[in-house]
Amino acid sequence: MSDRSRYILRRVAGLVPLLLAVLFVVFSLLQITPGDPARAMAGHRSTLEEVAEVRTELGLDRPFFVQYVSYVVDAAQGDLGTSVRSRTPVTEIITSGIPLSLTLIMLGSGLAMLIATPLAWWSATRRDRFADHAIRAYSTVTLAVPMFWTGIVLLTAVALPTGWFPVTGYGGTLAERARALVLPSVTIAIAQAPLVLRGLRAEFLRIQESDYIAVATASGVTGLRRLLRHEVPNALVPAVSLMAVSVPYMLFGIVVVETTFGLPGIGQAVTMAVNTKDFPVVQGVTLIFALVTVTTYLIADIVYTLIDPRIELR
Amino acid sequence: MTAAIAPLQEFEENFRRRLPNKLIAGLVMLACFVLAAALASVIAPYDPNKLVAYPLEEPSSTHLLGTDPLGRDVLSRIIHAARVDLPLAVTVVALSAAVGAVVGGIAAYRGGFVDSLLNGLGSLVQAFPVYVLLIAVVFALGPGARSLVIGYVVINWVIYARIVRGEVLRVRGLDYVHAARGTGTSGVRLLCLHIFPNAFRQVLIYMSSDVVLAIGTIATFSFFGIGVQAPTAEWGAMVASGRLYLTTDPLQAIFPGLTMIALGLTFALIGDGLDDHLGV
Repeated sequence: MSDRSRYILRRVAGLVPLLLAVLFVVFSLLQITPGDPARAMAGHRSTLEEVAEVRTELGLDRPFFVQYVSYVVDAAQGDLGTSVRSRTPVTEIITSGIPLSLTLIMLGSGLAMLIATPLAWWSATRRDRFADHAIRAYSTVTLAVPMFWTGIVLLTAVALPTGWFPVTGYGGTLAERARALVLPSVTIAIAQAPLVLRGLRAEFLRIQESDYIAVATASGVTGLRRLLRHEVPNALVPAVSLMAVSVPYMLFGIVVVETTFGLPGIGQAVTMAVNTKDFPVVQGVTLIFALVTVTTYLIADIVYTLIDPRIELR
Repeated sequence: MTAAIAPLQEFEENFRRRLPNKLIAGLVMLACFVLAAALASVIAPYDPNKLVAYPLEEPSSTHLLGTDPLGRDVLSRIIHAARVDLPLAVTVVALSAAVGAVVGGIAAYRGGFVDSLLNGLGSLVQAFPVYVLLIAVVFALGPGARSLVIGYVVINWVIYARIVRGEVLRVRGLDYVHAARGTGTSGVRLLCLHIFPNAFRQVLIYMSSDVVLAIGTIATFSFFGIGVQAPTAEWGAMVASGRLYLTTDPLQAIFPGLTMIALGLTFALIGDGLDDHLGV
């Protein structure tokens, strides 16, 4: 077995204790709730029988450790419990939200790259001149603007006066859905672009001062050809890893954006569950988001070792 | 005589010249916010929770930013909200930094098993997308400012612990620390007097950009309805209540947001300025 496959195996095996701990945290959410979670879920007007029913259904009448083990066993089999509100299995709620949320993430990050790459290149080329300062000021300002507010401003300034985009909701036909996704994707991109922009600018500065660009210039490769063949491709690898690092923020981004625009993805499922005290759904979504984060980091680490064999396999 | 005074003048000039404009601008803006928050009941034209006019009045000379859906004065509510958002953001960041500094200091100083244990705990927290874990914790503890503070510290101490741990390990190897140890300085004294002050610089720079994120996060959670609870005036919650009236009265949602962004920029300027001034 090669060093690399041994490394990958070890990293994957290392996930097991981490995932058990993650499951423990998610499971414990129910335990840190002040008061009786069964009562909270059953609602204010519930009878004692109803509360007892919820308690048995969630297994809250069993010892703590037994509950945890059965939670882990169920989760391993893909059973994350049932929503106490809609009576739908949590996995079903999550899988039905995935296509929308994933589309949003991809559109948002694609758009962010489209905004960030030219700005970063321009900023690096005009280093310490007006454009550079303006672009860096833009990235500082946008960091201070919360996504929900960007969404509200886009609704007010674009959706309402033009009528091109729905103010809330998703729609049934493909065309309706496409239109409903425009402003949410733009909102994500506006928040995401400055995060990538800073790293990309540094990358372009490094590339423009590098020897191979000097060689390319000396051999007559200039203008658009030098930009597209030499500068951009070399900046893209670090850009992709910058995107990977920002995945956790992206997941919070879809929660904010789906809630602000009323889109039925995983993000809206979690805020709705929070407002209706639907414990199993909040736990399930938190768990899935943690899984996505951990897996992204793992894949990023492995891809690094494939791209650059000099990285020490520890 | 002049020879003795000259270095002092030089030092003073250096000190003054080196304070970057960004830092000064940020500190002046922060002073304005702090003053507005402290003197809110004097500056604000109305009681933020009293119904003083008809609902959703347009901006006028009596109500400069109009009234909200219940008929409360928007300007007064925005000013009073500074008393909630500003201290809350600073508190969560300061507490996270304090917890992180202690944990990071212990991890670096003790090393071995304690270090691996604390490092594992940090990795566990970072296995979750930070703010999603915050949603879950605030949800479990019940909505409100207290849960928000607890949850924020739970998710946020890790970065500070990592910074402090790294800095302590770096500083510990420096000559002056060896010298202090050689003269018999005890462990705790060494850590508090010689190591922490040097690790503090990085922490301070990170804290100011962290406050920017904290302001936005607190407002977002209140916008969702699980942060600061009604009827307390809070910028995010004000945007949420104004959002239902976007067609008729969009300014309801816009003004609180602008204030929040101004405060965020204040701390961004301070952070950038500190980075220029103290950064390596």
